Amino acid sequence: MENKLSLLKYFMVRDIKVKYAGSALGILWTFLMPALQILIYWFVFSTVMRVRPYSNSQIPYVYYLLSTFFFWLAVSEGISRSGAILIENAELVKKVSFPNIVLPVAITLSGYLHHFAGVVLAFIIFTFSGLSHIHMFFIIPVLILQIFFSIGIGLIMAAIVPYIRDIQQITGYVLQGMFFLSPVIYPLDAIPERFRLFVFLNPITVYIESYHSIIFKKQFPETSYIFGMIFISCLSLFIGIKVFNKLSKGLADIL
Amino acid sequence: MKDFPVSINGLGKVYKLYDRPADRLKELVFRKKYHHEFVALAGITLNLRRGETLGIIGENGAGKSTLLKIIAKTLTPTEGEINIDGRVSSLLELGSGFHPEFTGIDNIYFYGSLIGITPSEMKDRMEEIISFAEIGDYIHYPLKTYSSGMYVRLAFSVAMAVKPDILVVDEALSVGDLYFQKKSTDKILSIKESGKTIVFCSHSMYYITRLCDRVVWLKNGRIAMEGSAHEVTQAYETYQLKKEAAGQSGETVEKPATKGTSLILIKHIIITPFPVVRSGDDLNIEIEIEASDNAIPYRVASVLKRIDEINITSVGTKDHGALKGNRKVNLCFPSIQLKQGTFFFKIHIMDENFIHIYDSKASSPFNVPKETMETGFLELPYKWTI
Repeated sequence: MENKLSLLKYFMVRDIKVKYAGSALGILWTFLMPALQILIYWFVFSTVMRVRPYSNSQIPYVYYLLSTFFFWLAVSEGISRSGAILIENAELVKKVSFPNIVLPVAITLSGYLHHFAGVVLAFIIFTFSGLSHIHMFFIIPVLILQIFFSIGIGLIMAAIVPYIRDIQQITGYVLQGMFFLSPVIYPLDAIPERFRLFVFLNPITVYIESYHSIIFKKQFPETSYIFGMIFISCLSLFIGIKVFNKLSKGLADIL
Repeated sequence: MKDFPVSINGLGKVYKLYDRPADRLKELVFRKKYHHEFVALAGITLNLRRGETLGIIGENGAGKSTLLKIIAKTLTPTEGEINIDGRVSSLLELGSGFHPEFTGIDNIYFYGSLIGITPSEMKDRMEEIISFAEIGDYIHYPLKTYSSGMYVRLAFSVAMAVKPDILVVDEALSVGDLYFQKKSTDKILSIKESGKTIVFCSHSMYYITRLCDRVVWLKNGRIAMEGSAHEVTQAYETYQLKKEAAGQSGETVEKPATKGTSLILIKHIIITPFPVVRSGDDLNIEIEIEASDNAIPYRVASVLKRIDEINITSVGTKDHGALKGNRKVNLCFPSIQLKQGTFFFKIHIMDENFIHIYDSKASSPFNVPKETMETGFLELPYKWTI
């Protein structure tokens, strides 16, 4: 176990170092790309579509976007990169005997670490705007549950994609669909009642709504959300580990 | 500690071959067979004793590499089981797992973690790795700045520093530049002598008989023969010769060869009489050796071969002390009893253990003219009782 942890650390460090190796702006890219995306969504949804976060509050739209955007990026990056990670490291997987499960987990965690900078920046902005409050720390358990969810899905992706590589082709579209069908860019109330169920079919919705509830409403997430999150996280982690352990045995043959 | 560090029982490996990647998907969906199978290994049962060196021989495609990879735990068998007790290190893929962007030190730690050694343990071995690899201050620079020799030296040193209980070696006994080749061979020998288990696969029957206690001959994924090194290599060589004689393209036996300019060179081989030798002549071979380094001990081996590479006999300077420096060595076969044919000598300059080859050179071929009506190429003492 100690060894798996140190391996995990090395893969994370390696991933982050390789990401910035040879790039002139280095760590700045962590902020630049999301900042650009935020500006675009801000313009489109706030100025063009006139989305308002909550009808009865004065919260600017950009704060609403900032509150969960980086959490979404971390989930999305984790899922899409996990699918490709074993293929990218085919040589390593085929030629060195090590616990392969560490690779997708490391890549997922490194995504969270990578986007954590954005989260911190968002919360600094909240603090200066007088939005922050002590209850905000309750997002930590939600984040931990979300990480479990990410790891679980990442493991499933990492194990299945090498067998059915077509999945990787559609992952981008599925993730885009999940993004637009989640309350990251608009409030849940904006969706007509009869369509709301669709948004809840998206597993990420409960996490996003929980963050919103803690950050903007200073409320615990609804009990159903809490149980929902625990259920989804545990289930995906459980299935992820099962699937990965089953499928990873044949990996060296197909990579 | 169990008695058998590696025990293999009924092991088999079947590769599923698909014509197109989509067939794999179709098979999953329709649950119909869309692949053909290639049996790489079947019914392998083997127990390796502690401290034993097991040789694996066989033609290309016989399953040697697959078996080695399964022992090195990078492939999983499709049937049967394998139990490995102890740490395995392999020289199969030196340096895989290394990343060019990172420094030597980072890569050492990373490789350690990969194969299950904690950073603190690795730290204790760091000194040893760096000094064995002899890459000096480069250890602090990214691997992409290394020469290929430095890279492989580092990789070898790391693979050795993990103190394997079981070492898996594929053909390459020696790696790196000429100087390091000898050093790496010695290292592997010292591991053998320290009582570790070694699995060694080679096309060189010489190395196999020299190093292995027991040999397994793989043929089409199955064990064709198992036994002492001499028994099995002999049977294998006979099989090879028969196959060649049958006109099939027999595999040429790869010989260990050195690249580049060696530290010790064979300058000339002069055979007298030449080019015609008659049965009963005293055959003299004069070998002139040039050593660029006077400190390196070496020995000379000479193999008499027929022109079609069949070994007739070999002799080495094993009863003499190791030689050093520039030398002229004379080898005499008094009253040579060759009947007829074309022959040549292959001269090897080897280390004092007759394992590492510094230089090899073939003499010009000489001819023994046919003077009797008897066939064959060798005169042996004989006595009829009638």
